[in-house]
Amino acid sequence: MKTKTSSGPAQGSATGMPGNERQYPFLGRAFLWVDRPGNPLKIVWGLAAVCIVLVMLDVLLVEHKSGGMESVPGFYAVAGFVMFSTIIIAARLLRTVIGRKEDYYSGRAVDDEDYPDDQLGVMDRDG
Amino acid sequence: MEFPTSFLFIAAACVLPVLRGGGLRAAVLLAVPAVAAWQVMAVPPGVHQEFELFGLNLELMRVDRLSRTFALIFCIAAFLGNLYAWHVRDHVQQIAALLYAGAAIGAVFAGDLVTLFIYWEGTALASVFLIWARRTPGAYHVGMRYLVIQVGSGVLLLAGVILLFRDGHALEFEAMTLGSLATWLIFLAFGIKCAFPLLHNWLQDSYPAATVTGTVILSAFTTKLAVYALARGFPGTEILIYIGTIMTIFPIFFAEIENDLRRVLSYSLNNQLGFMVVGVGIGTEMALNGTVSHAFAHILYKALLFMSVGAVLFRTGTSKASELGGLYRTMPLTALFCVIGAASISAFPLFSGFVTKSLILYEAEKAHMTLIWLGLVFASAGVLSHSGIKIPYFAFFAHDSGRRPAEAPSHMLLAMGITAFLCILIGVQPQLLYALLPYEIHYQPYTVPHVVGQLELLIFAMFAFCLLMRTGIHPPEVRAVNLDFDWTYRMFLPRVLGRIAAASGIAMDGIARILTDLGQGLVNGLYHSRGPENLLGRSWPTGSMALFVVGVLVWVLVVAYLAGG
Repeated sequence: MKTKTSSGPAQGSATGMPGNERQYPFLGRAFLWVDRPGNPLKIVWGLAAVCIVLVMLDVLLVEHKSGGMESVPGFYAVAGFVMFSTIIIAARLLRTVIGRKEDYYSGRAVDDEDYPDDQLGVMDRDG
Repeated sequence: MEFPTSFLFIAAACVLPVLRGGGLRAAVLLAVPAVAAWQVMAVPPGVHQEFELFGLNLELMRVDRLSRTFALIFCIAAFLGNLYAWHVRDHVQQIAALLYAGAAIGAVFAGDLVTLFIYWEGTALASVFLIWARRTPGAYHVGMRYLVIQVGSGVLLLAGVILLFRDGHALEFEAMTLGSLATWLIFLAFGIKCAFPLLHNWLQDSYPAATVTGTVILSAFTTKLAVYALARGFPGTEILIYIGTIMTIFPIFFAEIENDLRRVLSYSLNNQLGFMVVGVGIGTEMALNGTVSHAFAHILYKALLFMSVGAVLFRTGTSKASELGGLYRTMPLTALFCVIGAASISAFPLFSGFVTKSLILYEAEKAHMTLIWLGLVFASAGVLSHSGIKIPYFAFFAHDSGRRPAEAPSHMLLAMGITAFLCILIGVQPQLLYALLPYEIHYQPYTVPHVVGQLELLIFAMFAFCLLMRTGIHPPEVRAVNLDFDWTYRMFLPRVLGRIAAASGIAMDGIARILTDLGQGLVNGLYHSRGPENLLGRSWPTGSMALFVVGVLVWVLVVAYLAGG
C-alpha cells in the first residue's frame, strides 16, 4: 500500500485550531461538540437525568411481581452502577499484580513489534 | 446443487493462484461466499453426499436448521471479511481466507466425526497463514503456538473418535453424553477451540498478531465452529453452564486493563462465547435458539468491531489505546460504525445483542439458576465496560492523540456499513433472525420490563464510567502487557525445564567426574600392582619362580599337617 505520510501527531490541527477543523468531514465536525468546553459535563448531567427517568419508568410502568431479584424496583440500576464500578476497581488492582513491560515476551510475540509498513495504508488526512 | 459447499471454496482456492490481476482474485473472493450462501439456503434438509470409505460411512453434507444457520452466517462473514480485505493482493492471505471459510463450513455440514475431524484440522492449517502473513518474527512464534494448540485439539478429537470406533460405536456426529474417555477427549477438543477457561490463551495470543484483515476473518470461524460442535454434540451438558459462566466473567478484567485494542476484543470474544456455552449447557430448545442466534449476531458485531479497530491500525500503524484517541475528527464514519458495533455487543435496545443474549438470560432465570443468571448480568455490565465503552472511547474519543489519519478506504467503509446495517436490522426486526433458528420460537424481546431493565443496567453503568473517569479511578491506558495463564507455557515451564536441564547437566557432570575418578583410581591401582615395574607385572627370573612355588608347597604342607593333626 502506498504511504503518504507518517502517522505521528499532526501539527496545527492537534491544537484544535478552527482553521483545521473546517477540513474535517462533516460528521467529524458534528462530533466535535463532545469536546467543546463544558460539554463533557453536560453529557454527565444528561446521563444522570436519563438515569432518573429510567428509575421512574421502572417504578411506574414495570410490574414487579415475579418475586425474583430482578423484581425489586431499581435492581438493574444498582446492579449496573455497582457491578461496573467493581469491575473497574478490581481490574485496576489486578494490573498491579499481572502488569509487565511491553517487551516482556520480546522476540516471541508481537507486543513490542511495529506492524510492517508495507502492509498498511498509513495516511494523514492532510497528507 | 447438492455438492458439498466446502468444495466450492476449495475449488476456488485451487484456481486462485493462476488468476492474473488482483481485482479479479478479490472478486472471486466475494463471489464464492455469495454463491455458497445461495446454495446453503437452496439445498433441501437431509443428508447429501454420503459415501463409504474403508468401511466408514462419511456424510459430507448433513443439512438441518442448526447446520444451515451456522453455514449461512459463515458465508456472510466470509463475504464481509473478503470485502473488507479487497485491497489485499497477497496470495497467501487470499487462499487461506477461502480455505479457512470452506473448512469451517465443511465442518458444520459434517454428518460424521471423521469428516468433522478432517475439516477441524483444515481450519487450523488454513487459518495459521493469516497470522504468518504478517511476516514478522513475533508473528511466526505466535503462529507456531497457535498451530500446536489447534492441531492438538484435532489430535484429541481423533483420539476420541478412534476410541469410539474401537468400542463399536457409530461415528455419526450426534448428541453425546460425557462419561467415557472417548467423549471426554472429544469434549476437550471442542473446549480448546471454544477457548474454555485455562485453554483460552491461544485466542488472545493469536488474533492480535494476525494481519489487519486476517483478524477480522479469524474472529468469525474457529470459535463459533466450536460452539456449533458443542451445540450439536453436548446439548444439555450441565458442566457447560458453569464453564460458560466463568468464561463470561474472567475475561472482563483482563480486557479492561489491556492496551492493545485488538486483544481487548479477543478477550471480549471469549466473554461472548461464554454466553453461548451457557445456552448449550442449559440445553432447552429456547436456550439453544439463544446460543445460535447469539452466535449469528456476535459474528457480525464482533467482525464490525475488529474491522473498525483494524481500520485504525491500517491508517495509523497502531491499535494501542495509549497511542490513540480523538480519531473521530477525521475517521468519523469508522467511529460511527464502531459505536454501532459497541452498542450491539452491549445489547442496547434496537441493536442485535439485545434480541439474542436475552434468550439465554431468560432461560437461566426461568430455570431458577439465580447465581448463574447473576453472573451473566455481571458479565453484561462487563461487556459494556470493555467493548461498549473502552473500544470506541479510547480509540476515537478520550484525549486527543493529535493524529489526523485519513478515513478508512471505501471498501472497508462499505464492509463496515453493511455489517452495521445487519446489526441494526437484527435488532429492529428480530423475527428475521428468529425464523432461521433451529427450533420454533415464541419470544418477544421488546417488552417494557426488558427494555427498561436493560437500559437501567447500561445507562447507570455509563454514568459510573463518567464518574470513575472524572475522579481518576478508571485505570489509564499504558504501554504494557498483562500476564495470563499462557505465562505458564510461555515463561514458567520453559524456565523450569531450563533449570531442570541445567541441574541435570550439573548432576551428570558430577556423576561423570566421580566415575572418571573411580576409573582413574582403579587403573592407577592396577598399574601399581600389575604395571611393568611393580610386583605382579615384573619379569621374574625362572629361579625366583621355582623358589616361589617351593614356598607355596611348603605352606600347603604345613596347613595340611596342622589340619590332619
